[in-house]
Amino acid sequence: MVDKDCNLPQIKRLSALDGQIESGRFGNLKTEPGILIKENHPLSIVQLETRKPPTKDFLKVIKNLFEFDVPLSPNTSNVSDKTHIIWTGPNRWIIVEPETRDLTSLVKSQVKETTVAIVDLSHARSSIEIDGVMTRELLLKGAAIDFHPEVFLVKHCVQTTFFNLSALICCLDENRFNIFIARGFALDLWQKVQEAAEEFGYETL
Amino acid sequence: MLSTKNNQQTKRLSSGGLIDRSKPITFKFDGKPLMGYDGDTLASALLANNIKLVGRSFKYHRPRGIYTAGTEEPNALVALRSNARTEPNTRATNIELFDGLEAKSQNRWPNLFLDFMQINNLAGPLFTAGFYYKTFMGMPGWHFYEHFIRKAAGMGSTELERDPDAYDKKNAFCDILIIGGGPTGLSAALTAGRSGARVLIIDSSKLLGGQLLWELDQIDSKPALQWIESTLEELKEMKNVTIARRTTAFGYYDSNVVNAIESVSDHLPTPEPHTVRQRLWQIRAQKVIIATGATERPLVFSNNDRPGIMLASATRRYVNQFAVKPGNRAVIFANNDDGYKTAVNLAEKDINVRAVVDSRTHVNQFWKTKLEKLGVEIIPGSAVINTHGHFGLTGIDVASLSADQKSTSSQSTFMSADLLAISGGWSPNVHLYCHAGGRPQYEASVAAFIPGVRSQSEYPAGASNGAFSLIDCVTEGINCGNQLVTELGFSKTGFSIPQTDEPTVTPIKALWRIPGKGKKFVDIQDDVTESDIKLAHQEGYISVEHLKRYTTLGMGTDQGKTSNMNGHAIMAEERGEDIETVGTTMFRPPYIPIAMGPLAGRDIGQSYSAKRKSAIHNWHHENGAIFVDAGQWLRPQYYLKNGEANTTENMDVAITREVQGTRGSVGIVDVSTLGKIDIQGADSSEFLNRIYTNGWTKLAIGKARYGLMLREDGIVFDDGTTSRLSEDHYFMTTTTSNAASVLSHMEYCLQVHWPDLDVKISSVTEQWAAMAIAGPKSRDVLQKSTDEEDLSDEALPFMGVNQISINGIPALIFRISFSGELAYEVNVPADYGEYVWRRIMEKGKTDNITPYGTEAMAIMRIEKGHVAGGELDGRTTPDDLGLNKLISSKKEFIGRRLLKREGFLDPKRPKLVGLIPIDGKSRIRTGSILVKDPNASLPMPKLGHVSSGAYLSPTLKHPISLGLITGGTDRIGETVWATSPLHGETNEVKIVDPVFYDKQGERLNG
Amino acid sequence: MIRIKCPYCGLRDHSEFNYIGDATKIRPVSPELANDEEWFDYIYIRDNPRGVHQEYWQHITGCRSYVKVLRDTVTHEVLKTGLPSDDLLFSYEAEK
Repeated sequence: MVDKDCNLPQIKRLSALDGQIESGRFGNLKTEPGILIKENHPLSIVQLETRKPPTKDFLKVIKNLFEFDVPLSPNTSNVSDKTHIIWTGPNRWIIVEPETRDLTSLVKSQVKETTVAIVDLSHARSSIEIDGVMTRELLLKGAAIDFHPEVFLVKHCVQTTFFNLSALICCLDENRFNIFIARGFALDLWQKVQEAAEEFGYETL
Repeated sequence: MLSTKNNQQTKRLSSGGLIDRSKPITFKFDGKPLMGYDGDTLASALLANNIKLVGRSFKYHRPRGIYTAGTEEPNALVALRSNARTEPNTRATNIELFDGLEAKSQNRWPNLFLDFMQINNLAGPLFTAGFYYKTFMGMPGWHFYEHFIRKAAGMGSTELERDPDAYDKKNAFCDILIIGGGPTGLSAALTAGRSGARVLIIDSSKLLGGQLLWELDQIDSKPALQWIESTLEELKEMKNVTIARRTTAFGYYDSNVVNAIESVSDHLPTPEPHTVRQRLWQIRAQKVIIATGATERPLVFSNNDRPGIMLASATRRYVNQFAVKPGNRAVIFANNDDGYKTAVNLAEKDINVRAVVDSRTHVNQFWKTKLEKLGVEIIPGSAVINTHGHFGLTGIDVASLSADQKSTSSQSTFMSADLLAISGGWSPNVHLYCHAGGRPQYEASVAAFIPGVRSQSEYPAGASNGAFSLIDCVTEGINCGNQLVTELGFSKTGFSIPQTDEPTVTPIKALWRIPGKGKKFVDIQDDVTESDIKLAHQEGYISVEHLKRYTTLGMGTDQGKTSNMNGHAIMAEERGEDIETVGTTMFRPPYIPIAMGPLAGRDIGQSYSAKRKSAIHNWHHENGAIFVDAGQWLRPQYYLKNGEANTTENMDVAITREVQGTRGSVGIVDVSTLGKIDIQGADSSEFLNRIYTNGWTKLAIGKARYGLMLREDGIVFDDGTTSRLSEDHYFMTTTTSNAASVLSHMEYCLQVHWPDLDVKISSVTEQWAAMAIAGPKSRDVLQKSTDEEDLSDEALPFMGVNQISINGIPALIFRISFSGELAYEVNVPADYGEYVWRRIMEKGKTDNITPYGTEAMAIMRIEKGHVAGGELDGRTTPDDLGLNKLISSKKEFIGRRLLKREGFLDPKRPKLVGLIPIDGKSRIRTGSILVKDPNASLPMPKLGHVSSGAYLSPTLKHPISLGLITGGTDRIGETVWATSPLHGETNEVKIVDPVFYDKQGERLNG
Repeated sequence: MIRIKCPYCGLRDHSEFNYIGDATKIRPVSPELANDEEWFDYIYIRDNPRGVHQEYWQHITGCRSYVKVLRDTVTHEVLKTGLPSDDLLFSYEAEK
């Protein structure tokens, strides 16, 4: 059974947070909000897994497609334009971008090696973006990871326990982080982030 | 409110101290309005108001006062705040005074001055070590006495109302953690900070400086307070140094993890909006400097517990830091030079210091000259042997002490006094060192246990390391800081050791107890006396750990901070051994009492466990679903229609509606929670062959197969359907409850057992929203919902799989059935789940499509005799469940070998059957035991048990159950009894085939 | 709290891991050739050493790798970590 070629459906994707989020400023309003929270949606997420350390051919194909190198070290990622490739395990990565094209089909059409497993996870993960001067403080409340700016650099990524949930945390910018969470837990995590941000004052977008 | 002119702070000095006289604070103690100043503790404010009696003792209800000025306080425990915010057993010496503070004394009834429980004091001889157990246990009625005994001996009581405040947690990382901001900690912080290392320094107080805040020491010829100020200024400038105040390290755990509590709002009436009361810190440091100081020890003599008797260091702190006179006429009793320092401090603050009683005979010339000038008498070679007064100290008896300290002169001198400052030397705060795994060693030169060998990366320094002089503290701080930065690869920086003005010290002479009769308190919080320890020894207790548990020495909320050393030394004397041999008890976390709030953090109530919601959750919510927890998932249990109240009757109505709607026409259920695993790679078929009991190599592409997984020991682990999407690509489903463990099991097999297999697996549970459409009309409804897909038997036969399109949305469709009806499982990308569900509901309207929940789903599977959680209970084999046809004899698979073990071949093993109540209506409780004769004598021979049941089968119109019974289906037609002794239920049941409905499976074809 | 070094992700809290069990037991490579004794030993027999123990933990909220951990059961100290194919005990002894 071969995957049918398909263009993106016309129907609007509903995120796990759809209709659940009130936008505005909350918590401590004495100062400018220390935290900004928003959801990145809809995203295309494709997981690639190779049997062994990736072949030169595979690396070349990815480089040609996205203009970035596959990050070979744990806890790292690479970015090009709007696409992000993140190490998620030995010989395993996810490629993430805002949904504008059928990314899975694109990758499948280009990566010909049969030993590469390509899995569409576009709907499996929600992405919550946290920004603001107190972001690293907030992350420390949920994860036992050293978020010191000289340790956790831009493009650094970790998979860890975040507020008791499995999460992938990526640093996009000095104070801007993207958190990937299983879709079913998205609302739960959103609420936990809100609670933790109370004292800093936060704005939801 | 109290006006300033009523300010009764009669014991407040007119100047000095680290209090702000421009910021008066009103508070209440036992309902009485009082005033203090910003910078006070509750204890210092009470003393300023001449309140010395603050509580009653634990066992004897003796009047008790403020004994210390810090964390070690055993006596002055109060109930702080009121109603839901009440905190019992809070140390008055640690509470920062705030406006509107309310505190109540504890363990007295009806009030502090008239306490009926005082009778315990007269009955004193009764209340010796082990009293309760010796007297009451084993006697009939122990449970009756226990209630009263526990009430008479006790501490504060807790509130049952929910705490209205929030608590928080945070993690922290650093190169060097410094615990304690006294002279040692600050010196270490400066040294380490200048090298560039990431330093975190935490201190339990609002003000850093430790003991320097109230001692009159000079550093480099300037008051110590100036040194603190300039040090803090430099530290604040360093970006690599973080200072956390009001943060107390309470436990040192494995892997150099230190936990601390930050008192974010304890110094405020209520937390500021949006803030928390306390925060739990988990600190992960490469190196930890323990600069926690030392605790002064009391001396053990008759009636050493009266209000007005206080540690010498505490009296210095009250006069110097809080500008409070703890008494007017003072006597000082010590076995070390701190007695003289105290005398000078108190005398300079206008307190009439009558004498310093020194147990030692040699007196340093420096102090002799100084005290002579102040007119304070020195009484060497003597001891305080008794005290007088009831609610407060009125006088003491002094007698000379023999050279061996074992007897005193028969003559004693009375001295009138309302303050007795005592010092028995200092015990280093080795608690955190012990938590880290260290065993302290006895050091005779300082008469204390000091840290020994290092277990992790903990570095005790200064007073906590037995270095008690200021110059030694500063020196150790600097050296320790330098050592650690070097070890961490930073370069050390020049930092010269400052000068101090301390006189030469005459060594301490250990004095563990003073001869004499009467109650000599060792542990003043638990009312453990010297004679309790003697008694324990006489009764054969040797180990200090046993002594602790037998006498309760050191078992109070203060964990023996002031009492352990004296108690253990007395035990050593009784045994005639040296202290090193007898040893000390092991300190364990927490160092201070910790509220449950910060440990729980925000994981309370509804937030205790994360809520996992399917993509269709909102639809369920809007359409009357009553949810049930399935692990972390929330699943619709059944749906109430407009206006139906959630009663058991309406639940039955809903379930009946859902089952009949499905079997009669068409139903739809959300099965997104089933585990889904994507399997790819050249060896996928081989891998499935090894983890499933049945064969997979011959499964055609586009087909699904039911699979059974075993554990290595042959017990059934999980079941589900797996489909072949292409040559090397499979899609597996697992039960909801085993989704995580099946994935981990498969990863274990691939990473540990068979790393040579080319298989890549990944959880795709959350990628797909899944719904099962079941019932004779399911094909029609689905046909209308899809984009002209061919759903005929030819295109999609039973156990067929296809990829179809639903209004442009790609869907994986499986023709599988759990209900026994013609049924399809439709998987769509999760963000389209709600849309597709709504579309199917819309298209199914004419066929009266019924959404159904887990109850109806469970009933229908029991009607069909399908096994699920109740049967896959970790004890059953494939044969027990009638699944032997799924066991391949042609290949190896996990669990195969142990299937053949003797116990599994036993013909008496209970096997799956159906059960029906004989009367056609009695509810058979799941878990009931199946027996032949319900009147047989106990223990009744057990034939089996009821594994799952439906108390109403809307299809069969009577209750049905599945069970496992010896003999299994060979017994069909027999009757046995299902009994649940716990509920007093016994019902006669008939054994039937486990498939109750549509035995031929004809309905699968619609 | 124990901190465990995942060979891939680095030093992490043990709460990111699931404890799996004894790593010294190896599944019979040829299941059909192994005798009852070998199977019994593999499935049921576990030592409970005082001191050094080689065990598996899975980095469950991390990269999902199975990590071999050499741990002292008395002090809880994690002495060494590695991949399933590593013989930690051997290299630990060799380094000592």
